[in-house]
Amino acid sequence: MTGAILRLEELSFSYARDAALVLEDLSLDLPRGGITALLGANGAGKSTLLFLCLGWLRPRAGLVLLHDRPLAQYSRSETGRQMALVPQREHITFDYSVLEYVLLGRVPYLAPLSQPGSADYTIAYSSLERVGLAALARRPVQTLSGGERQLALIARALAQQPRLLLLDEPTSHLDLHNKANLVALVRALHRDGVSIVLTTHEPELAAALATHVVLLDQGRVLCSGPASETLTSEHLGQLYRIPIEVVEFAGRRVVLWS
Amino acid sequence: MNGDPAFLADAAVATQEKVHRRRRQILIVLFSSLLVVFAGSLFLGRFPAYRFLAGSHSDADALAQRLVWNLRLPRCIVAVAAGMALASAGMIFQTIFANPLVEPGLLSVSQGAAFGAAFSIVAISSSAWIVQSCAALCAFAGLGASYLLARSIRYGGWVLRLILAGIAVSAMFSAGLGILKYMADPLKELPEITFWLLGSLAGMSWTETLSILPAVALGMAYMLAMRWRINVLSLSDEAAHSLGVSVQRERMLLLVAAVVPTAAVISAAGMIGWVGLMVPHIGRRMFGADTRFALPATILLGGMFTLLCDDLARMLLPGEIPLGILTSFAGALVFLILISSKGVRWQR
Repeated sequence: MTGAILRLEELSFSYARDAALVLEDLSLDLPRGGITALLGANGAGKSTLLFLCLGWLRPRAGLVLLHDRPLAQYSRSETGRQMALVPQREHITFDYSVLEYVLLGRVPYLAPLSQPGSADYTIAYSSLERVGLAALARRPVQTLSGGERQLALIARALAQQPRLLLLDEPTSHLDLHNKANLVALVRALHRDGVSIVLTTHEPELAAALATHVVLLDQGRVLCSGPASETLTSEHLGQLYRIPIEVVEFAGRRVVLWS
Repeated sequence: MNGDPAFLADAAVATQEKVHRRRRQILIVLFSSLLVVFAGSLFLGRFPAYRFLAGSHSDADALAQRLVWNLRLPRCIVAVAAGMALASAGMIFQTIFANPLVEPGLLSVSQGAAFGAAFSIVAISSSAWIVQSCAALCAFAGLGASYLLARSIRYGGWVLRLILAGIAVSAMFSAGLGILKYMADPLKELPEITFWLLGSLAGMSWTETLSILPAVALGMAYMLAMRWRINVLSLSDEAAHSLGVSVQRERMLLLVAAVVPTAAVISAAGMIGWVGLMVPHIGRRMFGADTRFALPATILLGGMFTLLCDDLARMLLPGEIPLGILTSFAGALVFLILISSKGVRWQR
């Protein structure tokens, strides 16, 4: 449980060569076995940061180190076994069944010309069970509701059996029941030793879940550390540029804003 | 939820295996039907008369033997190969571009070949092999130009750039084709161009067959070997990337594997419309979206559909009907039935 699973060193990034920097000189350690929550206003660079971690975007300057080794030194399938991304939403053109869709999480474990076997199906099905979608395994993905689709995406990421799970606003489409389930799931994965990074617009979720919080403001780290130190009225007010009060209620942090 | 989770998982996997077994059985039925249609097609035609079907005299009849071996057999092989190449390319294109409405001519392969053929007829010679070489050359030139143009477009994702570039290059080729038709001798050259544009397998010999087959076989082998992994490429770029796929490289390889056989087929046989657009939809209707089963089904159905259309093309009227007319007509008919029937969801 020591050290960083992913280390970002002086990252700078812009979407076009002459465009303004989205992230500037950003250095960050994502703790191994921790739950890191990334908070920031819309457009602060949260999703961009996840894509950089994943290697999908390449930094203009700086390095991303996975297990202290530059990301570029890993093969594609190796990173696919190490890291999984759950995007905010995903467009699905064709009518895959939920199980077929989740099975795609086994891609990094299979050589390009091979076919998934029954072990892969078992893993895919268990992932569905874990997010509570097992009963929908044979339904077409396109018939799922927004929240169910998000759970299917999470199941696909679990089928990758990653060491690091990147969740981009995982609760954005979920009702309270599924949100509670997701929190329980993330905690269970955390107990299994999976490192987790999630972006969120909900400071309460971060406070309830994260071992480590990073506040991202206009491409820079405003502050980072345990929730008790970072999620303060002052910091959040500075981040969202409105008056914010953080109060303790029944042992939880509650954010009041007006 | 009741029961042991491990038991439930086993049960689910067993159900899945049953589904797969049934799908495999249907594929075998499709394959057998293709063989039957193929064998039947060899003996279908206006010549020779019925006794030929009985088989008793065919050994002795040298003319009949030559007819089957040198005319019908190569023609039927090309029909099957063409249908397979176009249908599989259609499926690959639709999957990779995540768009059920694209067809293999998208990257200006068809328009390039059409321009090349017309150019050859007007400016060089209308002998078959020169027309075909010219068509192949321009088909690949169109593909190359689309690729290079896509690389230089400065915005949008890779898929959007390829589509835009393909449309632009296609438009230029069709403008060129328009000029050539305008300039062509209306009595001699224009009918030839028109006939080529409508597509036909009349006069396919072993030479053409053997020049097409390697490209089709290689492309098909690669696609079939990749038949499950193709699914991943229908996801967004970043999703496929996060699943450990080198998105751009794998898409490019598959596109080449799909386009090269298409170009070979179009160059030899002209424009055979609608096979690439329509057959993949039937394949998906039968087996669901999973390309592991939908792709082999599409390949078999494409071969069978084109072969049947070609049988009609040579038998329906005293003269030859251009194959492209029949595939377009039958294809459009099936397509209309398909999209107006229940249970098909259209998104995007």
